[in-house]
Amino acid sequence: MRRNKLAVTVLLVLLFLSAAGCLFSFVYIQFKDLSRQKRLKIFSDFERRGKAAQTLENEYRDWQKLPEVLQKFRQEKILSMDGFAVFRRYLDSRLAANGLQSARIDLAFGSSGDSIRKVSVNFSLEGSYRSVKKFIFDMEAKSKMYFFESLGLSAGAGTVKGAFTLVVYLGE
Amino acid sequence: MRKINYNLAGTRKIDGRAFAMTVAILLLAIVLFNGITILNLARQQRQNRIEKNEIRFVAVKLEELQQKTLQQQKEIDVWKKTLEQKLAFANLLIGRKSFSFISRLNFLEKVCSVGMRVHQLSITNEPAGWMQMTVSALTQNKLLGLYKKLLPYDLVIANENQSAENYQANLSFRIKDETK
Repeated sequence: MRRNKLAVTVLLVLLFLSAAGCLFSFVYIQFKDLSRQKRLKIFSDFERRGKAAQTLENEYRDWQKLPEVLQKFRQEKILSMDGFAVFRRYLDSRLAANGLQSARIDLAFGSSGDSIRKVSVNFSLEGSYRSVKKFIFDMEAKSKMYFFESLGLSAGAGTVKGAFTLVVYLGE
Repeated sequence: MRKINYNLAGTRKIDGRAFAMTVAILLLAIVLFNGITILNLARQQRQNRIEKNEIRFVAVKLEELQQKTLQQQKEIDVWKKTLEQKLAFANLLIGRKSFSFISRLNFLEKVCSVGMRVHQLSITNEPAGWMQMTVSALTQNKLLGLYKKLLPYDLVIANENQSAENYQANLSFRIKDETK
């Protein structure tokens, strides 16, 4: 009888310990779940930094390509001295093609900065509005780096008088 | 005749079946609790190990990312110093090259109706895109109609003169590139 009582008591103690252990395991899991939030924060922080790094990476690549792009721009758009000669022939041909004539064309060479020189080309024209407009269109259509800086038009008797300033950028 | 049994033991007699049942239930409960505990802890330990590995991986990646970012930022700063001026100049040229005098003349042709005459026009290639002109109209209504059309373009009326059947005005307005 005493032995049986002892056995039951031991079993009850074991049962209590097992139940306590089981309860502890659930509490432990809950606690770990809470600390998982911290881990998620680390991951989201990593993700955020990853996105920022990607943006920087794109910017970095753009900057990396820039010297080449600038070089290409310079080669393709800025006129060389030979290109300038072609431009002058083109200007004359466009004037002639539109039936316009300039009594005088003044060229002013500016100082050179970063091996690029600005040349201002000033001239006046007189002709029909249509011819003057067509001439402007022709000069604007070229992709090389010259453009009108200013123009002043005044109406005459059946014609238009125009004062133009064209700017050309010359590479050295 | 009914048989009478006497228990002469010092203690109460135990029901062996009930006792065995109780012990079995207690043992079962102990096994169950311990099983659940072991399962929970094993699962949690596995989870912990995975998380630990992930965090270690992320930490290494983060460190690498930080190093790379710092290096890239340094290089960008150097490029900015050397290329920013050239870039600004190239953008300035592109901006001025894309300024279209033709589109401005087309715009004027559209807004000036029959019975109007532009005497003088001046256009300058600059970001503000101001245009100045002297315009005359046969009726005041035509001039007012032109004012209305030019109002969205920051119209400034410098002066207006009225003579016999002729209304003349000096105007300035601007067309920004994006509204061409």
